[in-house]
Amino acid sequence: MNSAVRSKKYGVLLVSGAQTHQENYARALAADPRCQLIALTDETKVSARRRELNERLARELDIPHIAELDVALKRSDITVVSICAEPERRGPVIVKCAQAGKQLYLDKSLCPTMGDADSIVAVVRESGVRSHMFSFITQPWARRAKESLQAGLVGDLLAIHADVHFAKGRAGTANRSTPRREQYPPDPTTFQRTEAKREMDNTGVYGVSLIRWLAGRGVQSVYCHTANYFLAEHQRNGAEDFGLLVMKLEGDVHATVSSGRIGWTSHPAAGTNRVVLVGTKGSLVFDANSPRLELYNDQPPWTPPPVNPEDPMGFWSSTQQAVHTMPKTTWQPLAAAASDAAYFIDCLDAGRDSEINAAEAAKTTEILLAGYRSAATGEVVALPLARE
Amino acid sequence: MSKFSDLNRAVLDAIKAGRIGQPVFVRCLIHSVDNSKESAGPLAAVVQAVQNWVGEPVHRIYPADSRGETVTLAIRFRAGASALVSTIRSRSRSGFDLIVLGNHGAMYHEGLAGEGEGRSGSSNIEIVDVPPALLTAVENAIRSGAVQVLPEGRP
Repeated sequence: MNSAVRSKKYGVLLVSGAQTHQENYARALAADPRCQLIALTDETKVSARRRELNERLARELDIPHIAELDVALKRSDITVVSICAEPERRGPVIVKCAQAGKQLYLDKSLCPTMGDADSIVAVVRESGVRSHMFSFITQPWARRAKESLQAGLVGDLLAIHADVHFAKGRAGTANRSTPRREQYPPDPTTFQRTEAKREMDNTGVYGVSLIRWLAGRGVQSVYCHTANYFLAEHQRNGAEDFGLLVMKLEGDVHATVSSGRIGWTSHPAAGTNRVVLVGTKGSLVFDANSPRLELYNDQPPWTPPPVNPEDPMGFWSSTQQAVHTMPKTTWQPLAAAASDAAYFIDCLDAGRDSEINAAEAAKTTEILLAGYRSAATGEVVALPLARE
Repeated sequence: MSKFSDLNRAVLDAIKAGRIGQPVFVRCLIHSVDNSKESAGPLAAVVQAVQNWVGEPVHRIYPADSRGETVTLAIRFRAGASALVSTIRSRSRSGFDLIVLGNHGAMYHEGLAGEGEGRSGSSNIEIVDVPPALLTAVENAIRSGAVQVLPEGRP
């Protein structure tokens, strides 16, 4: 639907609240003049703590909290649902929202099991709703990479290398005398906890989805290594803080992803976020931090924030603000970050699918799960994964 | 143009000075205008350097691709460190792009930073003192495309 002829704003329902990425997504959607936040809701079975956090964000956004998801989904003034339920609850919540005919704005990664991923893909297809998973593809540097590839600047594609490192957390605390032993299938409850997330999934999803989007090819096999290099919190929660993933793509293209949470002081900005395209004509590097200004002055140097026990890794905006986390200002990228939420609303306006719709996001889930299987067995894992 | 030996020495010095703690991951992209078909020697020399940086012997080498134009090795070291080492044949630019992550810090060498034509950086890999077992493992990985597992002990 064209925004010029659409008379009403998109009514937005939020699923899950504070101490999730909803803190950012809700505000990005609210900032879009085409959207209006209607309410915040969740499943009735959520913990008392989750409910309190949901009510907290609803208060901050000055919108009603509806205790029952099923009740909220019956409202006719809701078009879009932004879903940030914990990974292990995400699949059934997404299915329910799609069955209610709502357009889906989805946190990353999509979900932690292929069963959930297949259910989501099936119900989205049947219901005909639009969907989009948060990703890097809307960022200016990623768009430039895509344009360069399409313009043939590197010739025929041979390889893609992506690095996604988040400079957060107190590094140097992991016990390296006990190397990680990966488990397959990964326990869905280990993907997101208060202290730790599975970082090959949490940060690696950006690299994998970016590579699939750039290459436009299927992945044939995966080789992976997960590790606990930096953070004791991840180690004691059964979550890797780093992952290395190698993919063989259709058409004789290979790709690699390094991803993880590397510590507050291990990068001058938020971390390395880049992709290298390698082709028959040459190679090109696209970096979220390049081109940039570098600023040096007599202001106090950046120092890590005190540990917030509610969020020691700095996952959420509110918990970082609570401990007065200083912004890193030495590197200033020239291009402003683009709004992922606005991209999805553009898709709805134009009546077209997102380039990272639920089906595409499910492919990323399959690659990441194949990675965990490879890390557990030490072997190359062929795709598609066999269904249980 | 500087030599790889200069970069190798600088990285080793920083590690020995304790600037990044224990190195745990290395990403190395080697851009080379060298058109020779022989890639195992220079690659093995870089793997040998990375082995010295992380201070652990190579355990497994997985060749992600072994075509002449681009070779990528995924390397796992015996105590758990890892590396991705890639050679990229270039028509016009030579240099190294390097990330070394330690458990207390990181090192970055942007020998080819930026989009389009990059700055020229370190190149010229000297193939000296590469242990025969390591060279053989790299050659076998490139030739066979199969995972190579090295025996216990420093190759």
